[in-house]
Amino acid sequence: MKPDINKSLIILAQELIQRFSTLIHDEYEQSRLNSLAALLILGSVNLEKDIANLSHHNMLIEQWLSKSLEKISDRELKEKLVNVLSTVEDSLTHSALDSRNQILKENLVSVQAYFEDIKEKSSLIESWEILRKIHNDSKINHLLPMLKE
Amino acid sequence: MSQVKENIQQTLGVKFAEYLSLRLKKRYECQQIKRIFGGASRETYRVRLIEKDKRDSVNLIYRRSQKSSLIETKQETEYLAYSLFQDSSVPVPKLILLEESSEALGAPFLVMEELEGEAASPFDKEAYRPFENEIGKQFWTILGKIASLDISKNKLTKSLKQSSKNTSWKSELDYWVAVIRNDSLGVEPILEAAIRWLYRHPPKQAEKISLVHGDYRNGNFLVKKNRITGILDWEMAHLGDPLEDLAWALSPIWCWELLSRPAYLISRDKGLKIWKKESGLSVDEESLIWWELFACVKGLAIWISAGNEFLLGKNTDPVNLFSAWIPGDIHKEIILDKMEAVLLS
Repeated sequence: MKPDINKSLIILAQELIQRFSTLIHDEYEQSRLNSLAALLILGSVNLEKDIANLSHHNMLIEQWLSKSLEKISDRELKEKLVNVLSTVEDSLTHSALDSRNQILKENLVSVQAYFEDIKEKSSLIESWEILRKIHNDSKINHLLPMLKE
Repeated sequence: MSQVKENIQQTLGVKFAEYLSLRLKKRYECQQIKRIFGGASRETYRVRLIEKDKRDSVNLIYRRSQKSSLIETKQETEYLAYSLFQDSSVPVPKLILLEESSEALGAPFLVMEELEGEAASPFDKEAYRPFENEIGKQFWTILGKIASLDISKNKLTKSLKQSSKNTSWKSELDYWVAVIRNDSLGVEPILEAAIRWLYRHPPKQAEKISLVHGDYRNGNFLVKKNRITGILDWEMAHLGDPLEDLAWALSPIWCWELLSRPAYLISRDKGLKIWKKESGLSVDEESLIWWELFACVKGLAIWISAGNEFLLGKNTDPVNLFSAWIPGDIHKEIILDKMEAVLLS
């Protein structure tokens, strides 16, 4: 079994700070190296969950879009949605899931704008619950205190 | 720092001293040049020059345009803004000169005298302790003074980005939405919803057109103990609705770990009271809500731009990646909170 990528990144970041940063005497460059190391640690935090999250988020948006179809009377928007929802993404690679995520988000934006126009509040509330969930799963701002250490 | 980089910096220092000697008709020699943090849109150096005959030394700040920067801003804008407050009760560094051509030292630059004091991180909740009350009063008083400047009497303001009472909100929103459209790496539904809301619910006409600093917040001023010694980073200055600066300074991003104290200073109510008194202006609550949401969209535009610069390799300073990750994440969360509140109201 290979060393875990998250833990390895953290060790590499610690090496940068403890071993190499002290060799740099220029304050600006030293701070820049420390920032890079801190960002490496930050980048490693969500790495493990990223694919599972993307897959789950795509499913949530697809479900909401499907449910929204019956409330949409705009033919063009409806056809566009049907097309998107009939496409199935089999690949579980990060890039494939991310591309699908972008397409789904574009459609979520269009449907939200449409619901705002027709004042379809309950569907809008549901969409914001999904956006909150997506944000909470991928947010990193709670790590701010850790970065300062 | 590597020897090569050190040599490049020393060469820059020598050339800078030669240039300044010529322009100011003095005989300067570079004693020390050091890069310091001074915002992501400029390379900033602290330079110590010595006058050859007199042996007097002077500490200067040398702000040089970067080939690639977060936001495209002109050196002239920053210079003009500083000019407006020379020898005034709004503390700014004393200007020495502006060089707009790249021919002299490879990039346009401005030179100012170094002020005493330190700039804190906007994410450090302890930065101003134990003087947060005194510094807080000064922070909002100075912003009020900036808003109260009579721009009609000042020829310099004619060179800044112009605005009108009715359209200042739209020209600012259009500008930052264009940045987002240009630099975005993907669709962000939270941001798109905020943009739609802002266009659909414009604020009231501005009470007056003022000079807007454009990035007035904690971290962009120098402080020595209990005293603000200088307001910095005016590169986004323009004419517009003074509520824009107010909303930006009040934004929860600048007090993320202590939301009751904007800018990690005094309470929102106290700050607003001081600002109103000093500026002589009123605050329309609904318009302020608009400008506070706008602040998030503008912020995200800046962070998106930073992420784009980093990913394309145009500027791999870690501050760009940090900006795209952490402040970008915070602003998204603030928009989420605000949009949920609007939806449920």
